[in-house]
Amino acid sequence: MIKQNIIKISLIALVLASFTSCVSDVDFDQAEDIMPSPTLESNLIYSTLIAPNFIDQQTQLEAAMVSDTTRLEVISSDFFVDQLAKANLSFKFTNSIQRDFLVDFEFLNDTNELRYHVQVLVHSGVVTNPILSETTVLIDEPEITTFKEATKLVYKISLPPSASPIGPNSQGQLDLQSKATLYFEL
Amino acid sequence: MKYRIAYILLLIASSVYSQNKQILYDFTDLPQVLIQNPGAKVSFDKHFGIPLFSQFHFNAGSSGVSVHDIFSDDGQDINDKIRDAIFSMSNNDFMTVNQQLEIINGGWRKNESIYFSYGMYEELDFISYFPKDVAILAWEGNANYINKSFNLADVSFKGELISVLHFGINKQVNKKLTFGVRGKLYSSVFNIHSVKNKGTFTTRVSNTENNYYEHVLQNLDGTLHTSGLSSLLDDENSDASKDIKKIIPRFFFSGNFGFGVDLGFTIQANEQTTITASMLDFGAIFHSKEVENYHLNGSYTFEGIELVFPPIINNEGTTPYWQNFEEELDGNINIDTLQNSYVTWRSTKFNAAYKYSFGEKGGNDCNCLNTSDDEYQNAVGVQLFSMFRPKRPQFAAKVFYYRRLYDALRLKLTYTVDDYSFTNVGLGMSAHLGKINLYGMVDNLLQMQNISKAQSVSLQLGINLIVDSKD
Repeated sequence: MIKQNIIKISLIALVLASFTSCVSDVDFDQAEDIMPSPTLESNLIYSTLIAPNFIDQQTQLEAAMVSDTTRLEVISSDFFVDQLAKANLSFKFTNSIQRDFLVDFEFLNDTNELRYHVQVLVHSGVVTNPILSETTVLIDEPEITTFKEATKLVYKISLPPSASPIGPNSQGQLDLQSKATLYFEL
Repeated sequence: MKYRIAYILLLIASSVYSQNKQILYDFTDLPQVLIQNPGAKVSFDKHFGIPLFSQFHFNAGSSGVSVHDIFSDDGQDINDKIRDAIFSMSNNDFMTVNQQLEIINGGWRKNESIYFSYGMYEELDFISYFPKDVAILAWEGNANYINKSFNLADVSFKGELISVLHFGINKQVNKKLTFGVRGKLYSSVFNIHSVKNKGTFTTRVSNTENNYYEHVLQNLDGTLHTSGLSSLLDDENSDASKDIKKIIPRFFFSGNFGFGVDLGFTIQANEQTTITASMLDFGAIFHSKEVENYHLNGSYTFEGIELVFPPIINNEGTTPYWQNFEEELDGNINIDTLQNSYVTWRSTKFNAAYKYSFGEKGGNDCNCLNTSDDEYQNAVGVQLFSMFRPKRPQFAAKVFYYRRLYDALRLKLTYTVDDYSFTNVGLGMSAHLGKINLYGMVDNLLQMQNISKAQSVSLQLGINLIVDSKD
């Protein structure tokens, strides 16, 4: 009898132990609030233009405007569209050409509609004393939504009329560095 | 949302840690002891596990954080808790899940000294080290880590689902020595593993001053091996029952077979002192059917897209910079899909124990039943366990107290110390009612009140029929 009772009690104890084992003080609903928010630093475009780059090959005179375009397909990728919350764009110029430049960064969609625009005035410098300037823009709501429709970037440099235009013998160069700080909310 | 689920899985995956069936080890009242040590000294004459019910084994554990660390209802922002967890863990922390189900298990005594045993079981085994660098990069990004190298070597995991068909011989050579050997035939349902990866990702301040940074992928060399997975993942159906229908035949005829061996012995140094040791799953599986491997390698430095302003200005953009960038990246960083066969070694386990038996002999305290044998009622001892894992072996030490009560009930109380916890108390119970044997074993009893705080959970349950001619 004693033997059977002990076995019975032990088995009940084991079963109880497995049932009373519980999960307490935890709230799995918190999973809803999980939001990784990584911040990525990424290079964008860069360029080095020497003074003769601003001479029109046909006329051998200073061009009114030069530009180049690259696709940036990543901006309109699903990942960016769904997860990118805001972005900082930084443009750093080092100018040693004796000439002011008006620079436009045009973010366009596939039908060449302007989705975001940054304009920077770059002041003239000299070879011995290049002028450094840095512009940072924050793209937040609501512009970020239209920004994310862009698929390409046009880097356009305009040369406002000047008394001393760039000639074949002009010295110096215009350097551009650029980066994006991307704030994701996953 | 899908990213959140991935994070939760990663964290839960990182929050479990396992050991083996150590309470079962040297529990010579149970036939399953022969699976833990083919050279265990068993006294019964025949056993047969109730098919599918003779043993269910599950353990999971984490050396890093517990579920409670992340999900405790303490008013703290869960994102802060996850961040703390990521930084508190190291890349040597790991999570494991191991689950086994005995399909059949039986055995019979050939004569006084030889006992044969056989069976088949299913085993799911998974281990992943905490990929700390990858987790930091994914959680925080690179912005606060300029000049830091994120290491791909942190990615190390393996998982498999196999069936094991086995046959063991247990021979008592003399009064002092018993040894045993078990041959195993493995059939792999699926396997996935990625270990020994190399390479770094660094965002550093530019040396060339072409741009702000240089993004450097350096000496990437990583491999993901899979077998048996592609047909499960590729198919159009999302119907789990169809996948299960596909899986079940592979327990027998997967085509990816392997062989292994278990060895073990018992030395009865004197009447009261027993020393045992075993080596389990020394073997390998050869994967040649339905193999799909991915190999990533290369180096690449990205400074941004350089616009060169071609001299002729026409209206439409000129150089296909973006396409060139993609082609350059593809040319430097290769991702190849390969079908070459490969070999995986099983995670070999080692057990050893020293046991000292004492007290009265026989199982009946009251002497009212005359069914006793010549076993002592009490025993104490120490056990050591080690297991090969991808990065380094895993260790555990255990002290135990074993007690027979009224012949029909055997208890084993254990205390385990390992790298991960110093408060692991476990209990094993085996009830013997005539030929019927019921047993259950649970680790981490102290955490039972709130299992979410436990860094490991381990349990075994089962029913056997045991025939002992002495009964």
